[in-house]
Amino acid sequence: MEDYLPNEYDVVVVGTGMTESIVAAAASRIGKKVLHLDSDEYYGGLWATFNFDGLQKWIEDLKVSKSSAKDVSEVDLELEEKFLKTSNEYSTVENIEETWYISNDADLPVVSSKDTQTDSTGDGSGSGDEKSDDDKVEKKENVKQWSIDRIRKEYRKFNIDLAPKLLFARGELVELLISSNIARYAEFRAVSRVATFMDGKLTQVPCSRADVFANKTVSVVEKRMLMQLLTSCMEQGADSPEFDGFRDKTFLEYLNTKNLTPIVQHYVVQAIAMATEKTSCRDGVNRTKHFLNSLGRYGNTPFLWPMYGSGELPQCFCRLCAVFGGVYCLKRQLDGVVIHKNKCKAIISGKQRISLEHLVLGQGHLPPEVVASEGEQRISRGIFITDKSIMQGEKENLTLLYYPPEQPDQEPVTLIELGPSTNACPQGLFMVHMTCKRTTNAKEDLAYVVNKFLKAEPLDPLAIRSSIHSHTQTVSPDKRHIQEGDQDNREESTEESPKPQVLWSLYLNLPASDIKLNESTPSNLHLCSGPDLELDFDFAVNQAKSIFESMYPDKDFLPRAPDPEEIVLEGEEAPGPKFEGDTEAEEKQDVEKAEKED
Amino acid sequence: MHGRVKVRTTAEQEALKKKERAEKLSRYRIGMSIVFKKRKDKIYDDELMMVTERMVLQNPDIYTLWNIRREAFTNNDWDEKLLEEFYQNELRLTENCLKQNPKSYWVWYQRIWITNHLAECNWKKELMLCTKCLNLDDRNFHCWNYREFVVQKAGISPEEEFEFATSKILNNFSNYSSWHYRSLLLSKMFHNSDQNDIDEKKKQELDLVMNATFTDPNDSSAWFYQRWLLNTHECLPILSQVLIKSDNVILFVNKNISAESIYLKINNENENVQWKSLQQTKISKLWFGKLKKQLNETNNVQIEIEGTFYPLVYNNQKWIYKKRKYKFCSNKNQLLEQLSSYKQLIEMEPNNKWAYLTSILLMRKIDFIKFYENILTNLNVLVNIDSLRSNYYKDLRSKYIIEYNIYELWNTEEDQEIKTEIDLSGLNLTTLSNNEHFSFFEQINLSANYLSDSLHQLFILQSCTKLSLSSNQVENLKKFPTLQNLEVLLLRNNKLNNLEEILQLLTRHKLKLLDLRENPICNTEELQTSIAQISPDLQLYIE
Amino acid sequence: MSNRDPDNLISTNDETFDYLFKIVLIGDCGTGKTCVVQRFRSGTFIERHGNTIGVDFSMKTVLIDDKKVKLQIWDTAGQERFRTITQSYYRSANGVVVVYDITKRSTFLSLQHWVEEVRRYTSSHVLLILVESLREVEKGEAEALCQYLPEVLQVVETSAKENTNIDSVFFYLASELKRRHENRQINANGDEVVRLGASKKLSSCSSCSYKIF
Repeated sequence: MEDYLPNEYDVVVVGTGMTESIVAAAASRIGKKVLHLDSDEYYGGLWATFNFDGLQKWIEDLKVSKSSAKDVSEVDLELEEKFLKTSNEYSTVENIEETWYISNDADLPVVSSKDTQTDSTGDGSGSGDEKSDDDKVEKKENVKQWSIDRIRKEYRKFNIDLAPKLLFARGELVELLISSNIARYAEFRAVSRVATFMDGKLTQVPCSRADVFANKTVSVVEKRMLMQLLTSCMEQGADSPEFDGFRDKTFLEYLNTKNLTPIVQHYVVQAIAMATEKTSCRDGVNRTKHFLNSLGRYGNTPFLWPMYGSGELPQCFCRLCAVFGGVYCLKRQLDGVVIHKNKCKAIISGKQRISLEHLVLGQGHLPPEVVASEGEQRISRGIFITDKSIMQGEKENLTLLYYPPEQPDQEPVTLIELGPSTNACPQGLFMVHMTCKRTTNAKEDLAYVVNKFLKAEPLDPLAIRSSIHSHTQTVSPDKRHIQEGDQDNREESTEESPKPQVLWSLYLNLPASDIKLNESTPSNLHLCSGPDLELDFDFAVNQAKSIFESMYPDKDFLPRAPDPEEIVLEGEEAPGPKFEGDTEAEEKQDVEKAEKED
Repeated sequence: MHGRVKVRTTAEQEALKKKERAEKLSRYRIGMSIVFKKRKDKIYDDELMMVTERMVLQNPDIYTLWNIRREAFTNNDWDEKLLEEFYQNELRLTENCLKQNPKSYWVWYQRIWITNHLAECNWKKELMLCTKCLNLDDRNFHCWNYREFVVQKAGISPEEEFEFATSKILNNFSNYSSWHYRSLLLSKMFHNSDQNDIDEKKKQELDLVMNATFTDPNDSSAWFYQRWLLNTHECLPILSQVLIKSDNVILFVNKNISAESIYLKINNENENVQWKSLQQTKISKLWFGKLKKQLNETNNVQIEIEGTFYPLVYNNQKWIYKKRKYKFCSNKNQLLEQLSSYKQLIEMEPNNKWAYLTSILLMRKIDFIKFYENILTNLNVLVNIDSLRSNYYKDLRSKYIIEYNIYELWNTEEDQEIKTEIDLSGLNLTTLSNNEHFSFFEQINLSANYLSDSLHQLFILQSCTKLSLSSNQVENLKKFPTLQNLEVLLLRNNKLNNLEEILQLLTRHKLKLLDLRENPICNTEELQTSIAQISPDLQLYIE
Repeated sequence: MSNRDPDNLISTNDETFDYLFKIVLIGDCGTGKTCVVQRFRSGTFIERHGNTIGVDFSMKTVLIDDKKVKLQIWDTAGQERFRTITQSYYRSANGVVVVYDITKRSTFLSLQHWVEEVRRYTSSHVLLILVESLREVEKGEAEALCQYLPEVLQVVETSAKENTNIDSVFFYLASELKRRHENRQINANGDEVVRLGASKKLSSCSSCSYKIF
């Protein structure tokens, strides 16, 4: 059954991806009447985050091909109107491959008689101290081992991203969230370390002053070199005369003139600029600058991760859109658009014809007639549930690793490892996300990195006992104190510690984000791309900004939404909310009393 | 549109704020009048506590209110249980106030006072509060101070606390408070450890701080800590030099001690000596004593300081003790390594004053005599690249030149001899520095220097009988100290022109000879007659 | 679980408080959620139709045992209409108030759906209260339903128009939440959750001079 919607809007937005949601919020914020639809029953489209159950359902739904089977030939059209049927072919997810590396409960040997039942009690208890409850859970999980059943049972404790992205602490999105006051809808966690693979092992890259200071791998002179280079990139920027001779050269060529030691060069290229051999000097300097500018605002690294996953963020913008009157309807199919004289006039959704001034379409809802090219920047994704961190430390870490290609035909891979504190997974597990540009298919593209850092082989149930044993042993105290003599021993032991065991993996290929529309596209039809290859959300924010600008060139883009204290409701007697009514009364008494005494 | 909201304009908000401010002010006035009246009448009741509590929450910096609250705690008639309740409330109150202003002297003081008065204070909780507060702002020295107090009360060992200090410094090393706290802890730790442990710890710290200086050479906090480390920290007082001549004793120890810990033994009998320090301070490195009786050369004379005995030897009317070793440097290799790193830093950043200065300190520590010339060269560079502090570097240079010349003089000494004559002429000295050895010299030549602004420092020349300050561009003698043994004073070729000053100087001293040649004052007619009236026997040179 | 630690929140403006809790309101369209908040917030009752535009959440501070407990009460912004409430709405909520109108049978039947959403998206420690708005009711039915909804803490009948029980709902929530949080130890390591733009008053003077490079 379809819900009936009002028939006229200023802006109709179809798809609840990042760009669509920002545009919807921006239009609603300036008083435009906005209808926001999504054919799915969840928010986010390809930007969504699912719990384990939701993800399974999503995979199932993909298998049942979403044929827009509805015959819409009998659309009532007026004179000179043209009907274009929309298609979901530009949001096609391919090569989905889900694998379990562990067994069902029934196949497992009994390890401990203690508490093999899953923790679903938390829901019902509803009372008592949070802390102690959590401790209990943790203790339990040290004893238990992971099975397919257990992961399925704890589905709610997973938040799995289709398109995981980080935010630069001073990137476009953070600034937008703050300036628009949408930040109050979201919570974040700082990425706690940026890792790099060097000399056969993973190491933490010193990114802040504190890190450089505490780092034990490089000499003091190298520290100075690193600091000098970083300072000059940050303070001078790519247009400074310092880089004059390198306008047409690569970043690497510039660095080669700086007499850097190999370690320092490695840090700068691979971890801070996240550059390849081909990166231009200009890009390298700008990327370095971008990285450094975002340091020191929220955590030890320049990056933030949205709690509960990247899929939260489009929803924050949707909430704002709704607060300012936007109408939301999910699970609502867009069948096609009505064109009149190179303008989009209306959409057809089910039995309704909805007229509009502007139509904002996610790339999964485009009529094929307007598409010029499908784009090339297609994405390979790998998602892994593992039993330990790729780089164990004394506390839980949120890790970013950039891994440059080993062979010419490979693509650099971005790896993000999330722990339970981000709500990505339950205690005792880690969630690893890998992303790279697609060349063949996700599994093949990522294979070289998976093999490097993870153990992606079925786990022999009999071997579980020993692996759990070693797991508890390898937690070594991470003493960062510089003079600690045991430094070398420690690194050796981490190297020896086994790779994280993959419990479950999912490979998939996402469509290209650089889809192009042709020139005959109606000028009031705006395309919102799907997730792109970059690490952050800047592309989506900038695309949303330019769409909004083309729709309402004279209007402010997401001006600050008022705080409740600044709002006076119509008909409210008092000129403002009265807080602490009780204390004020008391104080009045005091004053009166004092006056009497005088 | 129905249900539309209206956002308050800035003007409206301003008006609201103004109104609030006015109300706040009137509340404050009324509150203060209540409080002062009650204080005057000595009524320390619940109302007083309530009113003051509300007011300090608004403004924790009104210290009078805290004073009154403390008065109330001591002058009330509450029973023990009630008092304890009030104390606990005060803990919460101060915590709330600190949330508003974590840098309020009065609130921190109040908290110290309260925790000291509590029957049983949960120091662990206090420590937690400090940690939390320092996590929010690790440069809050109020909190560092409070933490020092709490750590002591909680009985936490300096070693354990040192771990915490390390975590803070690793988190942010641009932090004077944090480095200072570290030095305090180390001093405490050094107190109970043997020299090997101290050396080892210092070695680690030197490396740590070098990392900081290379990470950000422009951050001065680390350099100051480094200088503190490079200073010698001796745990036991060791006698350096003693000279007894007739009934006068001069004694120099490597570390400040009090007069009570010095014993002078003649034939194993404690001798009663009146000890005086230079500035009448309780502790000093330099002590001057008066003997009740003359010694004779057959006496066995010893000094005892904190259980160690130092025998004096007799030589030519004097009893002497001296220890002339260079300070032993246990970590020479490390310092040499550091020196070479700082040389590289200078190459990378030729204008880095701290790198030069630290190189100087390191060279001085490693081998002062060997590196003497390099040190002077570095100081000259510093005068140029950091002209703002050129006077500081010139003074430092003077200090090192004096030290070097004293070392040179020692090389000419016989085994059982302390030389009491030194020539420091023509060395471009701008200051005398505070070198205690000056107190032993009797004849000192400071001619042809730039000491006109340092005359007050001559105070250290306590044994001096003959002093030359010729050619020092001295303009006045107002700051010339009284040197009781002075007999010969040479002031030739200066810019003296005030007769009063000279006469004043003469009344304070029993001079036998005064050389005033080549001074403007020599042209004054009444010069000779005036001087003759005061010191008829003075040998005066004026042309 | 919720990572918000009310003990650690720092006042963002000059108003101080001891605890801050997020309460979210849910329930079908037209059950009078906004009226309930309005009554509690300002003591007035305004009969309105349609959604209130631009109002995100309301604040009210109540005194419980001399402690200032600040409640942040969030309204659905109309997203309940087609059941499109975002998950992020529920995140880090300390309390949930499900409102239904017993005169509209459908809103009662929807309770199961709303409680299901609460289960899915909130922490397991959230406080859940059912509020029957507007009219007199057959309480027995709601209580019967609660047998299947063990997380529901209390069922309260209210009327925003008559101003019955509205305050007590929120006072009850505030005191219960305060009770649960007051015994928690000061956590020295602080909470690592980052909220953008939240001015960190205490460290502002050091952060402005805090150098990164």
